[in-house]
Amino acid sequence: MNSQFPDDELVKIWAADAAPVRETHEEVMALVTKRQKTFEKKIRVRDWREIVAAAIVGVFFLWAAAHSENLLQRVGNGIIVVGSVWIIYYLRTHRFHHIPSDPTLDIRSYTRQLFNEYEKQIRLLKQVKYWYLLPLYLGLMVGWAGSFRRQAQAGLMGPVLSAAFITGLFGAIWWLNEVWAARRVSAERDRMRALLSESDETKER
Amino acid sequence: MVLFETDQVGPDTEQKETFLDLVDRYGRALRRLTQVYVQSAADQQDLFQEILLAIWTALPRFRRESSERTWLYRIGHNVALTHVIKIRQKASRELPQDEQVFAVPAKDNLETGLIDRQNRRRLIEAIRVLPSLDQQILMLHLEGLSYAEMEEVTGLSSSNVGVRLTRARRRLSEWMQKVEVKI
Repeated sequence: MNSQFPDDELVKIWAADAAPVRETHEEVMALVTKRQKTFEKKIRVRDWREIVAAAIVGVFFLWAAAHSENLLQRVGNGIIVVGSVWIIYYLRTHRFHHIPSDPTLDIRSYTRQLFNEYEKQIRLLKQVKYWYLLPLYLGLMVGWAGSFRRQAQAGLMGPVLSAAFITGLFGAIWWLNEVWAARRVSAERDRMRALLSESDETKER
Repeated sequence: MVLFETDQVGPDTEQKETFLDLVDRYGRALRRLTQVYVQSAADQQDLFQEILLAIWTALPRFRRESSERTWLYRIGHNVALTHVIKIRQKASRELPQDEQVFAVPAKDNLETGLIDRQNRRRLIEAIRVLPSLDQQILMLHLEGLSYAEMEEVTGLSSSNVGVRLTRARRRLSEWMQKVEVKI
């Protein structure tokens, strides 16, 4: 360090005037406990939200399959039921078995762990069309085909519009996951990559 | 609200005592760390609490294979890294700096206190413009960690830490000369 800013002066400036820990021991413990409860609740809600939604869809279409007018509709509803079970299985396997990054690791290892985590998230988002959208879309379209004759009696516009609506909705969900969300996660993954290469760069010097 | 029974003896009580002892000894250092990573007092408090939670959660797994100081700084920096990502994703960063960040000096030390505050603010600004890894190494250096300890926290070798630190100190010095810090 040059003569104007000797290290000990910098250390003094750094250590001076920092706000002390204002909370009492009881307050610190109350904060930690409250935060821990909130965190655990958030994780529980996140983990169960989509599973409950998939279960409701599954039960509804199971009922619909039992009351279907024809075989094609029954097959379509059945595909959705199987699809819902598959989605629950997939979410449980990929999310519940997820091990969060360990903050007690050194910064470099932690950054690598975050990088791998983002890579995994991107892979999952890019595959949404296969594990999430395809089974449901396929089931709905087979069911649609089953009810086509009845719907078409009142004109072709009705069935065409309903098929277009389903396709549009699934297209939007696909875009939100594979393009919009994946782009956001990719930006963070790239930041982690930059941090990692920053430390690699020093190693090479 | 009763969180822990005072007469309770067992792992929870021991964990609580160790935890509070760590907060007493390293709380200020962890607060300093939050001031570099996030700007507003609310974000700093939020990050500080998140670090405390991470320490509390990790404490039962602490095997004393590393010193408690390096262990704490690892948690502090790693949690801050994730916290900054969350803030960025919420796009709620860069709020105006809050006075709470810097404690108000006592009346008789007002002038010295104001210079201290100004210098400290400038130092923090100077650290913020450094690349992320340099920021971390410089903060660890200012907290008085040795090269070996910095190596433990960052995962870089001592020589790499040395290269980074020299460069960061040079940049910091240039920047502080530019803004005319009074010492």
